[in-house]
Amino acid sequence: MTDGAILSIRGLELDFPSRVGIVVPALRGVDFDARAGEVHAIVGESGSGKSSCFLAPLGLYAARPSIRGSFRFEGRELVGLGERELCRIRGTGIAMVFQDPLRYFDPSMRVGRQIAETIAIAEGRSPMGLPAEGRGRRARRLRARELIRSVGLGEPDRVLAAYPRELSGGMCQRAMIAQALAGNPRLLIADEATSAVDAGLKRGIERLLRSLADERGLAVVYISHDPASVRRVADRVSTMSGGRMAEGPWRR
Amino acid sequence: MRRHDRAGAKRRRDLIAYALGKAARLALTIAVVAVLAFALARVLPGDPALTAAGLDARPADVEAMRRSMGTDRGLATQFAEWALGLARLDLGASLVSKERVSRLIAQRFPLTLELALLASAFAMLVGLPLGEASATRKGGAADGAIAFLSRLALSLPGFWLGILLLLGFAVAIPIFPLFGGKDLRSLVLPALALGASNAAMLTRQTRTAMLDELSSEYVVAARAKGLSRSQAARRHALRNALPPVINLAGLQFGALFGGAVVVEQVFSLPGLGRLALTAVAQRDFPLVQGCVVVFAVIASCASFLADLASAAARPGIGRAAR
Repeated sequence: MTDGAILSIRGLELDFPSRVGIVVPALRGVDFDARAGEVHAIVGESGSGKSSCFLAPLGLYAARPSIRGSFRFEGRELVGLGERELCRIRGTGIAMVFQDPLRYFDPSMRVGRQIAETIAIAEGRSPMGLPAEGRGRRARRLRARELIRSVGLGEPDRVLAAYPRELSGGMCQRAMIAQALAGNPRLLIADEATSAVDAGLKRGIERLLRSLADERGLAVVYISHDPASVRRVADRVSTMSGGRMAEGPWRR
Repeated sequence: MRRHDRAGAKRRRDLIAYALGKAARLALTIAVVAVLAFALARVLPGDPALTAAGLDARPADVEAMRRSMGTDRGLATQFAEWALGLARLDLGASLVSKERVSRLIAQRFPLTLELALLASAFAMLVGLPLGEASATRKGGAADGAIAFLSRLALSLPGFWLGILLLLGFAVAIPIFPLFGGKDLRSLVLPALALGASNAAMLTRQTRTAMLDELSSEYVVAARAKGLSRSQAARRHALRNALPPVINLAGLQFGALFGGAVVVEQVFSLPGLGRLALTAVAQRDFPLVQGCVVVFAVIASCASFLADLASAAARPGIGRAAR
């Protein structure tokens, strides 16, 4: 069942300790797989635990919830890993794109610098991987420009020199995808990535995510509450409800 | 490329318009302070002529002294003369020593400026890192210790802390001079006494602003792209937390000159603060007014510069942040 899966979640359970000491169950027995070159969508109403499946095992919640079960990425178990090890997987192994790029970009830093920062993180983690000419400020700038083009944005220099607020919502979301790609991840989690974008631009972002799976062979997890959008993008669909996998995965 | 230049030009134009508006308000502030300084000096009980002539002087001598000081004329005349002088940047002459007020102030100003700069630098060098540390370790032992220290620093008055510092580091362990000289070493203890409560306030402000920023979505995103908690805090949250901290530091810098009045007395430093104190004791109206105007100009300029700096520190935000 896990053949070829880059990510394999089995029996994932998640509890949030609440202030008054009562344990709030968030996830119960979740199974999920993601494969390279495939878009696997998770649909469900808000609060059903779609994002928690990924944010919690990656250590991205401020309050440390208790996690049980298994979250294996490229064969490595992430449940029980410390912050240092998780940090090395984030960005370069598993990258994320969020709902509202204006709030998820640092508002006071130019987009180009934020992308270059991600490129530098990836460089720092591949001591032998990159040739000498692939490093340095200029090389990062060129790479950032190339990434901006690859997500379908013209005028890369203008986008890179802009502050997030100076870009339109659609452009900003594409720039956020470019930033996610800057770490050369194998798995991309798009968490409601098209929900804040208006209808016309939504299709464009959907096509872009689709092409990342088709052309780059990326494994894409497409989290959405919009069944129509999911039908347009996904190879497989799972439905979540109340912290459990309700239906699926269905192949489309 | 050209559109990017245009955006840059618009940002510059915005900043210039903002600076001009602030400068106009600065001029208004100074005008109001000038009126208040004149009025308050006259409201003080006591008569400079009587002080100068001595309490047992004959009424005729006191009257002669008043005439020679010019305080026998009407208040309106005195004010008009002083205000006209002020507009020409002339602060008049001291009633007591007859020296130009601007000269007296210029002699004392550098020492107090150095003291204030040193105290301000100390406050920021301590306040920013401690505030950041206590925000990133919220609820931990370090956070508690820093909170305790800052409460202590806030509750100790500057002159009391000054006396403690003198007893500790000039008497018991004599590494700093007991009496004020003109070198930097003699300014260290006064600067600590003057800056301690500011450091505590900056620690608090930094902590609050950092906590606000640390709960922002962009910090989650920064960690999602592979930064550690502390990297995300330092590279992203801290710079967004800076504007209110810079604003506070600017306000504090202006207030430091007022605080210097007491601290200079404790450390017997011949600065602007002691000059103002002596002037008040002698009812030397022009000198009191001159000192008050200089204090006001410094306080206004400092908060003006801090506003500019905090606007520049958050370039992506635009007008909304002001």
